[in-house]
Amino acid sequence: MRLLEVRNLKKHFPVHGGLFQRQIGQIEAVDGIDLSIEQGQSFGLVGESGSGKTTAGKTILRLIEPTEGEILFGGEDLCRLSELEMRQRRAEMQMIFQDPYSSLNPRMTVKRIVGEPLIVHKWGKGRALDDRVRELISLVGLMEDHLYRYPHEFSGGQRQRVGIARALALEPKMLVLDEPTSALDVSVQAQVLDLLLGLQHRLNLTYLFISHDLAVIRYICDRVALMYMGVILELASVEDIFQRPLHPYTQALLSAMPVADPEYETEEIILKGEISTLGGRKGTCRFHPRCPAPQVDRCTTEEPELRELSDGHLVACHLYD
Amino acid sequence: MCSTPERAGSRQEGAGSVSKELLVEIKDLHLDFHTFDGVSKVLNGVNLRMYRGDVLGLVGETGCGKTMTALSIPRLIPCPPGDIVGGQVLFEGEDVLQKTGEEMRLFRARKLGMIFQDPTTSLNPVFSIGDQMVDIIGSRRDTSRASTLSLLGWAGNIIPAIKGLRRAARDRAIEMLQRVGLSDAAERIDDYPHQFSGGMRQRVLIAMALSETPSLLIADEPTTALDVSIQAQILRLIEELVQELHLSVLLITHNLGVVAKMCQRVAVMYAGVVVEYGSVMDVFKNPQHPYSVGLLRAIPTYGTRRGEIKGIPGSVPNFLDPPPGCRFHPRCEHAMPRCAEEPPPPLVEIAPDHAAHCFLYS
Repeated sequence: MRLLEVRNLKKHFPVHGGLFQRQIGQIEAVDGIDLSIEQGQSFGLVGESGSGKTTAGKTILRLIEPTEGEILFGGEDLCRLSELEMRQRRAEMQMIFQDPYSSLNPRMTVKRIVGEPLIVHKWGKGRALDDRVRELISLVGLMEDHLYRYPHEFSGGQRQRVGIARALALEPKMLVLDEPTSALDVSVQAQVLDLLLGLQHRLNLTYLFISHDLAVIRYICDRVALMYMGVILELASVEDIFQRPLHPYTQALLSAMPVADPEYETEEIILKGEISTLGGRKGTCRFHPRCPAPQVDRCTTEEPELRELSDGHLVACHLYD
Repeated sequence: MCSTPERAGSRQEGAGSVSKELLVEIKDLHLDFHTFDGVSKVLNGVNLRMYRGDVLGLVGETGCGKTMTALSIPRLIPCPPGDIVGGQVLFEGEDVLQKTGEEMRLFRARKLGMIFQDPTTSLNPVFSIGDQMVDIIGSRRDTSRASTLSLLGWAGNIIPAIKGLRRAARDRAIEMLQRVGLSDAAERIDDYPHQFSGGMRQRVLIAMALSETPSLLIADEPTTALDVSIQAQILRLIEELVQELHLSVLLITHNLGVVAKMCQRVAVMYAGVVVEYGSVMDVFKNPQHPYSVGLLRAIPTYGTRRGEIKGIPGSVPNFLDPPPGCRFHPRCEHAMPRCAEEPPPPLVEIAPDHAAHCFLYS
């Protein structure tokens, strides 16, 4: 069953300047992305910093209002809902943030942090609320005596567990995980990834997993989309992306990923420049100034569309026209 | 895609034949930090050897003392609150800890270069990169005039010698910037740090650190703040410069992938102790210390299936009250009663050039 479908989602931020702070331009953070996620699947959104992956995640939850596009969640267009309806719907879709140090209120005990969504959504009170909080805490592998502690008393991994417990409080169908492990050390990252996989299995959760770490994405996701300057360049199953990457950008990223194996050797493709200095314009292939592949004229005159090449493998590149 | 045996072999040979001259030797280094809550034993007997021409990786999790170990070589640890309570840091046979302030200044100027994790905060935002580089290069070239150079500011140009030194330093700065990949260095040298992107700033720092070809380059997480494609560019640049300038590099990182790619030898640190030391091949293919084993099992790599990675239970201990005996024993699956009673013997050689800090091998 298809849980989430995003069609032509756009988010443009205005840029103000000049004497009267008038709008002098806009940043197209997300510029028309399409994706769909099946119930119980993990969908990975990969990209470098500034590629718009976090904005995409936040816009899908309508934490930022989209400029254009449709977000169908369980068949219903979220963009048409009023603020009140949206608030109710958000119980079904929760977010886990990157930095477990700033996403928990330092003045609240764990019990209040985890219980807060339950109170906001009038889930219950008194004994029932207490029991639910205890259940959640044990679900993420924390102890009951952690309930009355404050966030600063925990390590990064434990804090991220508190964040996960809070997100799970309202029994959501979907979680948007924005770089949930990139602030953690490797030994702790593995614990958290395993917890996420276990929870997904037990609660039939759907994940939208945003990360720049290709190894983590490969470990946890079923399908992956690669973002670059607000658009998707390649979208395929994890196996396809890693075994047969088609887009030159994907190939370069995969070859540049350091692998913890001294015997592993690849033909390393080093891209020139950075997004900020060599970004392509709208209406051309946004990747062409950095592209290592031989270019055709159309790269600079026409923006490639995301087209299906083989079963479920989509790529936006003129090389495959 | 898969490994070529020749290349892997040559890496091992290279490590064996070139690197026999000892450059840095850290012996049983103990470092305390005096805090309001008590004495924090940050380094607890670090033993480390570095050979000339080597790229040595120093890996470990946050707070395990990697940076503190590295900073003890140029003696940049703030004292107080830091306090080196024991041990030796030998650089080319001389104990750095015994040097006077002036000797230290000359030593840092001539022998060391350092690059840091965050290229944004290690450049001064109110000076153009040209000014910053001229200061550094000038004070390295002519250590006697160094103080006048920065003290007088632009007024120093009245003195012809200083003006000449400045001009030479500026030419050198442009040359170095071009070498690290700023092709339009001559135009951009008077730009300010915020006008550069993250990767470019890191290049500027590399140019600064290598301007007078140091014996040792300390690179403290040089690519952690950068994207994968930029990381690849910077690592490639460091690799090239190591070849070109015959540098020795102490590469601090928590990314085991970077170590596998860049280093010949690796030291794994845990809670202020080097727990395993050896060639990258030995440590990655045949890890001995339970912590190294756990660390390598915790990272997903190419072809890792679901459920195959395993975290190390527990978390890094509190340094104010570290566990007695071996500091890893509360998280160790091979812990014996003895581990909680006495610290394990310092690095025991298991094979030639491969040592572990563990009772399992004594």
